Amino acid sequence: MPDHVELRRGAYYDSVSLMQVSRKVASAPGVEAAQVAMATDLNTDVIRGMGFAIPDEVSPNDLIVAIRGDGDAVAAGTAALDAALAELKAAGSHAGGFGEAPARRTLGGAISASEANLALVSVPGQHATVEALDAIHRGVSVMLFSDNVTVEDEVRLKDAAAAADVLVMGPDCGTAVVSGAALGFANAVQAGEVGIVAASGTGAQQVMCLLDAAGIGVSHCLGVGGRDLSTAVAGRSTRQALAALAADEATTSVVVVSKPPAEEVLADLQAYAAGLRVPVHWATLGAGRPDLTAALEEALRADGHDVPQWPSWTVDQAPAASGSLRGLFCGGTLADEAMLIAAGDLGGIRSNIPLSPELALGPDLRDDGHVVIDFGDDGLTQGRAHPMIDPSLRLERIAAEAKDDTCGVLLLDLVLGYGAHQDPADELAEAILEARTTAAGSGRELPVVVSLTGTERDPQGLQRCATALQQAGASVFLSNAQATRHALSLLPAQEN
Amino acid sequence: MAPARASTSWPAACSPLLEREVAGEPRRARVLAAFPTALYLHLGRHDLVLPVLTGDALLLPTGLRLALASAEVEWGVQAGHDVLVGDGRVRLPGRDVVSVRPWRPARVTRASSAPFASIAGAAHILGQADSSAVLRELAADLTAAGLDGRRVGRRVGALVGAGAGLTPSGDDALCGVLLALRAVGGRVPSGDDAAGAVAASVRRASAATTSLSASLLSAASEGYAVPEVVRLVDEVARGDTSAVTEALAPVLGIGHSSGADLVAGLAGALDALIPVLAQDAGPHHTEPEGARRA
Repeated sequence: MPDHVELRRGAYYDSVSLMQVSRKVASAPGVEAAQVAMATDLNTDVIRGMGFAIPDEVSPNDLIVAIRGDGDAVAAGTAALDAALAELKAAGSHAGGFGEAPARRTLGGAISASEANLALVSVPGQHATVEALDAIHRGVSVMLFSDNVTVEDEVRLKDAAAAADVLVMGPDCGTAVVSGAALGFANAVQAGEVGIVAASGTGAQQVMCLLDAAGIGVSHCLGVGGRDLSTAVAGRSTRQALAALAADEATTSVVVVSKPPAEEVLADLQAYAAGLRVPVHWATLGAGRPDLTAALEEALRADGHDVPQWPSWTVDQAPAASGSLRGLFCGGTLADEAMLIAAGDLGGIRSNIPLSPELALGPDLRDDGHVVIDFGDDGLTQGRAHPMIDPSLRLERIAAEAKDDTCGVLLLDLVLGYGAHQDPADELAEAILEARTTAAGSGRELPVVVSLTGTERDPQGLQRCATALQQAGASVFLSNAQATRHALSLLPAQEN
Repeated sequence: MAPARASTSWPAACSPLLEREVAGEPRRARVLAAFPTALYLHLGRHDLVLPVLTGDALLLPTGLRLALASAEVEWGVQAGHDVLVGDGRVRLPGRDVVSVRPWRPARVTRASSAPFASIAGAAHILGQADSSAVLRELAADLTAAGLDGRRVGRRVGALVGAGAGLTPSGDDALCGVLLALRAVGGRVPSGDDAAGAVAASVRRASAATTSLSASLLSAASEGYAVPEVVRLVDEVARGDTSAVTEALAPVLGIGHSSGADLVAGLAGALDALIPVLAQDAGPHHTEPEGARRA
C-alpha cells in the first residue's frame, strides 16, 4: 500500500486545529492512517513510528502530511486536507492568532474587511444611530432594523446618507428585498421589473405578493421606515430610494407603499417622481384614497398589464346574526387598511392604532363595538416576539372573542415568508376551529375571514396554508382589501 | 482599503531582543510564513526569527512593529522567498520596513512579595480554566524536579515540540513554566537554579521544535511574552484573584489552544512551587509585623 508524505512550507496552524484536520483526513474514504503536524522531532518520530518514510530535507518549520491508502484514498485524503485547511482559514483560526488579522470589532471595520455594500443594523435603538453612521461613513447603505431611534437621529442619519449617496432603510424597517435577497420579514417572490419603496412592512409584503400572483416580479423592495413620509422626516429616504431605483437598469416601474402620509410630503415626492425616467405609482393609504389592492390594480393597468382575479379560498358562511367586527391583526398596515375600508361602512372603529385619537382603546383593549387590534404594535411586543413569530397573544384573544356575544365576525391576517413563524397556519386553523365550535356551543355562528399574505415559494407555502385555514371554516383572501370587504358583508344587516 | 503601496518605506518599532540583528550587517533571511498580520523571517540560527508585525497583530516580544493595520499592508513576498535584514531595515520588494525607534516588550516582574496564600488563591483560578490536565501534570513534574535539583533534560525533551501546531502545546506549557519560575521562583531557595536549569535544557532542545516556537521559548526564558500573558503572570504573582480572573480570558483567547496550553504550564509550575512557598513562609513569616512589635 503506497504512502503519501508531503511537506508544505509556510503553512502554519495551531495544535488543536491540526489535530482536527488530522482526524478529518484520517476519516476520508479508504484512508487507513493519516497525520498532519508541524515536523518537530516528536511529531516526525510519531509519524516514523507509524511506518512512514520521512524525507531527509524535513525541518521543524515544515507542515508534514502523511496519508496511507491506495491512490483513490490518497486523493480523497488530500482533498479532505485542503477542504479542512480552507475551512480553518475561513473560520479565522489560521495560525491561531500568530498570523491572521483579528476579528473586526466595529461595523466600519467589518465593512472595510469584507467590502460589503449593505449593512444590517439590529441593535437596541439607543446604540443604533452610532452603528448606522459608522456604516454610512464607510459609504454603504444601511437597513436599520432597530426601533426606538429618535426622529432627530433619523433625520440626521438620512441627511448623512444623502450626502454620501447611500440609502438608510429604516429605522424600524422589517422588510426589504435587495437584488433577490430577502432581509427581515419578506416573501419569496420572482425576480422582475417592479421596484417597491415601502414605508410599511406588511404593506410592502401585501404588494409584492399581489404582484407575484399577477405573474410580475420584483427588482428590489426598499424599506424606508414607517415615519419617512411624515412631516418631520419629509420623505428623505423615499427620495433616495426612488433615485436608486430610477438608476437601476432592472427596474422599469416603481410602486410606493405607505401608511397615511403627510399631504405636503406626498405632494413633494410626487413632483420629484414626475421627473424620473420610470413611472412611479402610489399605494399610499388614507381616507378617500384607494386601498392597496385598488392602487396596485391601477398601477398594473397603467403599465399595460392585465389585472388578474386575486386568489381566494372561500367557504359558505351565513352572515352573523348579531355582533360587531373584530379585526385581530399582526400587520400594522393591513390593520390600517382594514380600518380605512371598514370605516366607510361602519363609522368609527376602536383600535390600539386608531385612525383618530378619540377611537383609542383602553389598556384592556376591550369594546363591545367594532374593534381592530394590531398585535404587532410596539405596545404589545414589549418583552415578547412579534406576533408573526410568536402568535400566542392573538390566539388567546381569538379564544376570548369566541366566548364574547358582541363579536359578530372575526377578521384575521396571516403573513407568510422568511422571518415569520415556520408553520403558522395549522396553529391558526386550530384556533379558528375551536373558536367556531365554542361560538356554536352558545348557539351562534362565528364567520371567520383571513387575509393571507404569501406566495407559493414562501417556506410555508401559500396553497397549503390557505387550504388549512379553509378547512377550519374560514374564507381566505390574498387581498387584504377583499378580505375586509368580505368580512363586512358577513356582519348583520343593521351593522352594514 | 487599497494596500499602502505609494510609500517606499514603512516606519517600525524594533524590539530590543532583536535590535542587534536588525541593526547589524545586512544578511539574507528566509521567509518562513507570510500572514496578513505577520511576516516571519528566519535569520539563520534555528531559534532566531524576526516577526514583522502589523498594528493589529498579536504583540510577540521579538517583533518589529508597524503602525499600519493588516488591511493596509501587502508584504509582496511568500514563504520560501529571501529578503535582506540589516542596517536597521527589512528590505521587501518595492519597500523597506525601517526601524525608527525601539519599543519595550512586556516582561514578567521578578520576585513577587505577595503572601503565598494569595498566590495559591490566584493559582486556584488558573486551575479552573479549561486547559490540558496532562500538560499541567508534566509541567508540575518538571518544575518539582528543577526545585529538587534533579535532572530536567528528559522532562523538557518530552515537552519541546510536543503537539501538532506552529507553537506546539508542549512549548506553550514550557513558556508557562519559565514565566512562573521567573515570577515567583525567586521566593524559594532553589527557584533561580530551577529556572536556569529549565532554560538551559530548553535552549539545548530548541532545534526539536519550530523556529518561531524556539524563539518564543528563548524570550520566555528571559521573562518576555505577549502583554496579555505577562499581565496574567504578574497578577498571579501579586495574588490578586479578581485581576487574575480578568486577565485570564484574553490569554485563553490566544490561538485555538496556545493560550490554554500556556495556562496549563503556568498552573502546573505553581502546583510545584506553592508547597515550597508555604514551607518557606513558615509560621513566623505569616505573622503580621505589628504583632511582633506588640
